Amino acid sequence: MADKKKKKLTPEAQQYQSYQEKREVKRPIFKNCIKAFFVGGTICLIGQAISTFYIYYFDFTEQTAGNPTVATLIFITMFLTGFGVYDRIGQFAGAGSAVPVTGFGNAVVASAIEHRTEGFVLGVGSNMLKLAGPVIVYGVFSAFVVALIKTILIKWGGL
Amino acid sequence: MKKVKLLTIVLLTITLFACNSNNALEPTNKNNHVELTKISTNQAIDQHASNEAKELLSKYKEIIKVNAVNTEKELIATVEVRHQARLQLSEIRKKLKNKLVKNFPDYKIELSTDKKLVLEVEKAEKQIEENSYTSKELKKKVKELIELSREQT
Repeated sequence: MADKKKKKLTPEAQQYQSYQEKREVKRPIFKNCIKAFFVGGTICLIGQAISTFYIYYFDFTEQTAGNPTVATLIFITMFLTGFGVYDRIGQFAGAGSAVPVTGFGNAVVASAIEHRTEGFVLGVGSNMLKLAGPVIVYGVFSAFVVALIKTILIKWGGL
Repeated sequence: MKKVKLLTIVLLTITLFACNSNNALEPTNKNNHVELTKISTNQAIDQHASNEAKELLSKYKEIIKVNAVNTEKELIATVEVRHQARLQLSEIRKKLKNKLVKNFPDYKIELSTDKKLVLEVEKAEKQIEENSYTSKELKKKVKELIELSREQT
């Protein structure tokens, strides 16, 4: 696609393009990965601490402690989003703050806040899951595909 | 591009090595690395079976901590598995449970690797040691623990 477009350009434009490619500031992929790794890891560490807290002080096992942990994390994210702290974290860490469940919470809460002025039904209600909806759709769909593959492997693959 | 290639290779190696760790799970002779407390057996409820189970489980080198409590019909054992062996956790659980079922045919066996169960069984052991359980209470407690270990979501 990019090559096709390039051929149609005038020679001057091509020259300019190669000129600007040389001067372009490169995206610091490695640095971004490190940032995402540490911030995402910190979020997971907090999650683990909350999970351990529920195991020690309430009647939750390792299996069942996941539910209240996720709820607590999303609750904390709700405040952080409302106070505008999570935006800063997101700007710094990128995927590190978007991939954990807190990123999902942030997507829901942020769009709810954004569309508050349009009313509760057509504003908050209909826009809240605008960004989080695809996460659910593709999450469920990929879970279905994986389950299908697993079933086939177990039933007919003899795994 | 070179960096990405290198990173991929390193990650792949780590992943493959992690999957390839040997899972022999054989009992060894020495068991001095395992944390276990034998309950003295002059209690209202005989704890011979759980002491034996602890002895048996502690021979595996993957295990760092064993706790067990039994009533007349049920035996609940919990183990803490060495961190490197946790990748084969479900396999280890299955093997150890089979071992216990084979060795204690008179008991209904429950084996768990869950941290919560470890804590609870340890607590129950302490209370038995302090003689603060009647046999009825212990039965109730063990029943509760078994229910807890079966909880799914």
